Amino acid sequence: MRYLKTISAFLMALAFLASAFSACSQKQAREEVKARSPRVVSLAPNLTEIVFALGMGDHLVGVTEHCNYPPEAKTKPKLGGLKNINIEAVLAQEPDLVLATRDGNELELLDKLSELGLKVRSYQPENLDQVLDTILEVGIELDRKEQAQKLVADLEKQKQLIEKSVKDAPAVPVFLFFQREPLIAAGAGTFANDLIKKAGGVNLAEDARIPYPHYSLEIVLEKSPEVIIDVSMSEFPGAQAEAERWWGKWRDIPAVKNHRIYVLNSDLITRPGPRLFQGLLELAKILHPERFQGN
Amino acid sequence: MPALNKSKLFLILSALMVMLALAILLTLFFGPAEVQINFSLLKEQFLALVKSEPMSQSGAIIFRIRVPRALLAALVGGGLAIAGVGFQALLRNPLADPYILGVSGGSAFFAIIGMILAGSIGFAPVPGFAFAGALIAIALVLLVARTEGRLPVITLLLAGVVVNAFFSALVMFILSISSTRHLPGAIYWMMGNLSEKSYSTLAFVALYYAPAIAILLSRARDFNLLSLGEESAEQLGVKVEHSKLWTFLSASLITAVAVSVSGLIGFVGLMVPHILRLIFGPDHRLLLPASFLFGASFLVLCDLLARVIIAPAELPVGVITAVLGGPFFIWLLHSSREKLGK
Repeated sequence: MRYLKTISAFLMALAFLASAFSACSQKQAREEVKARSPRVVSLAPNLTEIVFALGMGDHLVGVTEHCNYPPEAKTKPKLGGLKNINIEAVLAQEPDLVLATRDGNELELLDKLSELGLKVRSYQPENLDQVLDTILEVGIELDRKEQAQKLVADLEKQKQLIEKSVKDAPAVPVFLFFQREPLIAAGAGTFANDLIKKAGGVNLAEDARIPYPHYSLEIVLEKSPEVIIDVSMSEFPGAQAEAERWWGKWRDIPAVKNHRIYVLNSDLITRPGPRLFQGLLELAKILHPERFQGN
Repeated sequence: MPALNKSKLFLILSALMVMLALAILLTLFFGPAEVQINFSLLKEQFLALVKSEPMSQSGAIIFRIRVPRALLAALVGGGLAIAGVGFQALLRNPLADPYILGVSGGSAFFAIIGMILAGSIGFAPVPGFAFAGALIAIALVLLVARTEGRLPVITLLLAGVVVNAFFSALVMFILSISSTRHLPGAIYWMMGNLSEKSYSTLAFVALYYAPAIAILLSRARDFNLLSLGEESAEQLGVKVEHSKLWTFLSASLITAVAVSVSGLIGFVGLMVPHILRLIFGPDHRLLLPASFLFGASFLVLCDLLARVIIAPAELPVGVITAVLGGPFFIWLLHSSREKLGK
């Protein structure tokens, strides 16, 4: 009997070792697969754009409903909105990396995902330079450091070119708004505010000190903006005419009188990704068209 | 009920009218922008407005921003207050307010749909959507609550609460799936907001108001008798069902119009009737017109504060009405109790 017990214990120990060993080798094999093709989930539109810009779009296995750029992003599996990400849908994709934003996503969800053993990286760029940092950091996470450095250098160069072009031009007073009724403007602390300044403008609503203030229309009249930028509508054929119609009754505003009302896609000035620099270029062209003739 | 003599009625209402006129006048002179004001300039700019000629900056700010906005505040505030009296009399419930029977939920849902459409296909007038939503909610409540040609108060209340809850759930659903850039607008709308509206919008509001307010005013005697209970009122010659139906329809219509141009401004419709009841007593012949005038002045002044407190940004006026009105009401309740105790 005693023998039997010892032998069975020995056998059990052997079996345990064997299984542990095979698990180990399985894990190794899985990690090798991972290294070859990481599965990435993006929980914010700007991060989705960064991943695509780094040439890693094929590795995205999940995005949000708001991820609409580039067009391929729309074909990826949807995991929910920004605030209502479906945690089971994330897990089902078995991601190796989860990219998230601290402000946009729910912190509890991100904590839960880390707790479950997923690699979660969150970013919260607050200005143009931090957007470049974010691109670099995401690039390192995705093992695309060189591409990221090249992209950042290009964007930096583009920014400097624009800033140089408008440097000595007189700053143009601008009123930029996100919604018409009620009139929600771009206040201090928004990317739009930052971009307007860099593009050679003065943001009239900066004095509201609230990021998205309901701005007083009589102050708009008093301050007489030379340019009005409407980002309340997506791009559709009638948008320009609609914006002009809406402002038409305030003929005394210089922007209305001189037909300097423009419609812009809000994603270009609110989404902290590579296209923010395209937004900067668009704004600079709107504010200082004479400096950008020929391109 | 103490007798209400005509001269007292006349006196009180004239005093309230003067108060309203002063409140509106005040808003013309104060605002976030600085304007030049003197009598001859006002006259000249007014003529320019009538002839639709180019105006000076001050003239445009006064006559095309402040005047229509003050008049809108007056119409919305007065409308909500008188509708509140109507709903409180109809439901014989002191907690009734203009939003209790579904109007707020229905209009909010459609207004937000309008906002999202305005962002994607352009012209989708939010006021029109909100008004349509309010009418749909009213029709639903009526459909649910009406049984055998009668409109029992309990079913009316329940139908209103259910319809409101249903639309509120839809609002939450839409907000949870919509893009973040629509959120500030939707939130501002639900907190109540008076923004710049054209004179034609004012005309639209007045057009719907006139018959509805006339109906409510003509029901003053019915309301007094209804406070004794439906049976007693019936015995005293009130056509109870007829009266209830018309009260419901006209008070709802006023609320629908008010909400469509200003979002959900709270407090006015609930508290103004109570404030005036505490001051002047429960006689509806005085309570109805007085509520309109007092509600109008109250909202005009609240909107003035909303425009200047954090200028150049604006506060939602619904925040001001509740923050100012709440403590004032408690003070009034307290002091009237003391008076009664003595």
